[in-house]
Amino acid sequence: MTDGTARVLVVEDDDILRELLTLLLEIEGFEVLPAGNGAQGLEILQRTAVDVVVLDLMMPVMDGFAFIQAIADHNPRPRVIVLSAAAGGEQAAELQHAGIDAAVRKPVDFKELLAHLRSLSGGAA
Amino acid sequence: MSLSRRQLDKGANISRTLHEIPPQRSQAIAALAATGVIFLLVLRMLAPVNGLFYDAAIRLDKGPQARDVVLVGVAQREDPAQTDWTALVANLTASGAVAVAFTEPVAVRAAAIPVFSTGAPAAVADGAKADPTVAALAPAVYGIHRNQALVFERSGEQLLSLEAAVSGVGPGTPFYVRFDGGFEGIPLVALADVVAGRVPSELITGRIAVIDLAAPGSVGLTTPVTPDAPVMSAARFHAFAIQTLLSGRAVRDLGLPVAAGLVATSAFIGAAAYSRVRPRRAVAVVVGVTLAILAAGFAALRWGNTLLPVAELLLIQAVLSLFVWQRRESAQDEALEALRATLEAQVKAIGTSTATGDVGHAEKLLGLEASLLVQITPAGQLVDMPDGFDGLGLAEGGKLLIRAAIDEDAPVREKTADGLVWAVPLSVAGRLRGLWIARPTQAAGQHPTFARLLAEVADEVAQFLPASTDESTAHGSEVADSVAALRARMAVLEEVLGLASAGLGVYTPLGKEVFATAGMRQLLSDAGASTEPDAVELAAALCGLPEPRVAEALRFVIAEQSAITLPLASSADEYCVLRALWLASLGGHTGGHLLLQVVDLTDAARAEEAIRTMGTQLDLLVRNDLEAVSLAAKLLERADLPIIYRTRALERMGAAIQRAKTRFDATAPFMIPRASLDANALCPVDLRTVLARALVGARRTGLQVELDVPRTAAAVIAPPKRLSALVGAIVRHLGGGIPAGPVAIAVAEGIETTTVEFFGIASGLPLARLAEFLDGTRQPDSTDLRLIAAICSEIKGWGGQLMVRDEAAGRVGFVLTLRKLA
Repeated sequence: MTDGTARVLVVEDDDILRELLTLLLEIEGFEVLPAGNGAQGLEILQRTAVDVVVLDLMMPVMDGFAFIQAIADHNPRPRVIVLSAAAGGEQAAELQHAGIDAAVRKPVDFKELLAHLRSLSGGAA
Repeated sequence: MSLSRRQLDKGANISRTLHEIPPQRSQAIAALAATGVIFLLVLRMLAPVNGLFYDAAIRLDKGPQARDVVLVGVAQREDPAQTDWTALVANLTASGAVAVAFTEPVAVRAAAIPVFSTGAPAAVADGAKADPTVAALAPAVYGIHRNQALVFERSGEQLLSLEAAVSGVGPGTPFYVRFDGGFEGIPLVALADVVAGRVPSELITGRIAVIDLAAPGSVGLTTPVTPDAPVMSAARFHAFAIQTLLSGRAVRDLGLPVAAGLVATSAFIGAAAYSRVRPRRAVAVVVGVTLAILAAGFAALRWGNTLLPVAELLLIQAVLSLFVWQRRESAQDEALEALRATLEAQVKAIGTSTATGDVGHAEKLLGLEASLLVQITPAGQLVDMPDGFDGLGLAEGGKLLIRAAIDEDAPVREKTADGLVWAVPLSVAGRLRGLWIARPTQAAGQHPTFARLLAEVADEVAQFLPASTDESTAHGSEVADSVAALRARMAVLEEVLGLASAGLGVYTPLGKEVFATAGMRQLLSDAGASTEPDAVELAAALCGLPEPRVAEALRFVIAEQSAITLPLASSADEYCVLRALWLASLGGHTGGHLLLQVVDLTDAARAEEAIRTMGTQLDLLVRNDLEAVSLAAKLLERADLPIIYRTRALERMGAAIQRAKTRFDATAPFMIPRASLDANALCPVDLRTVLARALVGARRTGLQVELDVPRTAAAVIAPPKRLSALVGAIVRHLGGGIPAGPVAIAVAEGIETTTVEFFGIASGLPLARLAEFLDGTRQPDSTDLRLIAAICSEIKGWGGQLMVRDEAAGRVGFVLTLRKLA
């Protein structure tokens, strides 16, 4: 977090969705770092401290599950919000067990996503 | 933000612009000509009623004026022989008549009277000599009465020579005679009144009395009285009429109120032709005048033989109406063009030197009290709600007015307590970009061409929309149509998103309506499911099965990366099934998702591949696009969104829509029937493998599993012996999955369906033997089995489903349901 602004890493392979999410979050005052897949997200994490990761699960190169495993030992470990069409029910429980902080079902309820982001970033942004 | 501007330019004024455009000379001449022609036509039609026009008239070479002549009418029913003509003449002369003339018929019938004669003027002159105060009229040629020549000689001087005819007149009404220089009215009195002394002496004193026999109206206007004379031509008749009208005396004789009315009517019609009246009013004028003239024409027919003239008048009126209309349009076009040129010059001059959004000059030019500019996004959203609505008196009806203007794409007006308020669509390059809300002054608003002026000026005013929208408009315009066209569908898609998020795709295999959300929602509602059920809840609700069993079925699908089909309890009559598919993620990496499909097999004519492809395309590929559009819409809904963000959101929305369209197009080939392809190409999957895997899954889960065979696929396997071979292969393929043992077979036939059931009960038929029967390698002994074998070997043109049922522990049932193909 810099100057009270939460830094969010958006990992989404769909470039259109990624940009729109970036726009929406920037409008809300977040500093957004976009990444096209888990591998790119990891590279960013190695260079920059991130408060929250907004993560898509189904991605090429490195999907969301692999990304979650990869950052398990990252210090400091960012909080993770998963965006998934199947982010409910039993799978949500499995995701939380894997270390996910929150899950937002697609189509994204942006208010819900914002609430999670502000909660996980300590109310910043 | 209100964009209203009151900085009115001092140099322009719409009233002056509208009303002080100097009319061209041709316009004025045309309008005056129209007025004159209409005036003449109206008079002309009224003339017969008033007895104005006669085929002939009395012509005086010199001498008396109208006031010098009195006509004494003798009704035809009266017997001239019973009339004391001498006494009559004596009475007339005693009353003050200076001379008495008899028309020719009177002279003939009252031949006993010695003082007149017929024939040549010489004879008349001779008769006149007998009594210088009495003369006879020469035979007539035309007219209701006749064309007559009167030679009246007094004191050796020929005083009168006239042609006389009367029509449509009676005692007490004027008798018009055409003297040189025009018509004059002549009093007409009845013979009986003269004899009885009831004619006032002042009516006759100093006048010439012309005694006529025939009754008024006995013959037509152009009827020749003289035997063998030709009928008077219509041209000559009209020439007389026009000559009379032009003399001006007719107006005087009609009376001041009638003449004033005619002049006013003509002036109004002329004004309509001259000014730029509204089309509706111009039509009303033309129609009204036409009807009036028609009525007059029929009235003329009632009194005379004027069919030809009336037809001619109607034709003239029609031509005149067209002329009036053309002039009106032409005058409007010219005036508007002049105004437009003026506006363009002033708008350009002012627009470059004043602040953006300044429409003051236009307000002034058009005579507006106030106006607002309202910006609209390409998606049809109002960016700037007009705060000034209150000032325009549109607090309640403003949005409706705006909506009406957008829908109609034309100026729309709303009547308020303060007067009319107009909403004018503003377009740039054919794209709706805003609205101009204008309240004109009362004078300007009532001008018939005000709406047209607004529309004309709108293009100029549109240039004053906020420049901040320009950069986004270019791209927004490109996607505007797509957004508008897809808007309704996007709403449906967004609804479907809620279902799709649960892994649900909804469509028919025919693809006629891919997103049958209404029916789907009804199904959900009927099943008592919540609006956003998860896959298990939804499938259970649709199928009427317990959730644990459905969960097992779905886990099977996921574990086997396969598909099963569950019967839909609520739509069984329509052969709808719920298909659960596992769709692997694209790109080859692991993962995937569960897809539930509601498949209407009633109309199923698609191969398995088409169904699978559609499911993959629509659910996997379009999902992100819909999500993107939804996110972009969320962005655009924000009124405080900076322009750079708006631009990027619009671009991204356009890209998402384009991508979705591309992907929709990609599915199109699968929507096309491929009847021309080899039948086997329609069934690329190995049915036996599918069936076997499903059966294994069914046994594992203990579920009812129905395997539907699309009819196109069934057609492939339906030729003789092919179906039996398939069933036999299935049975054999079951291998260890089905306990070997006796089975029972039941057959039920209907008109449209044939159902064959195999029950794995102890009835003595091993499955291996059944396979032999179905293969045709062995003939069964029982009737039922022979029937089964016959059906399976002779089946043609049927589609069907083979359902494997887990009846109970250790017992498996097969149901082969066959349906006739359409």
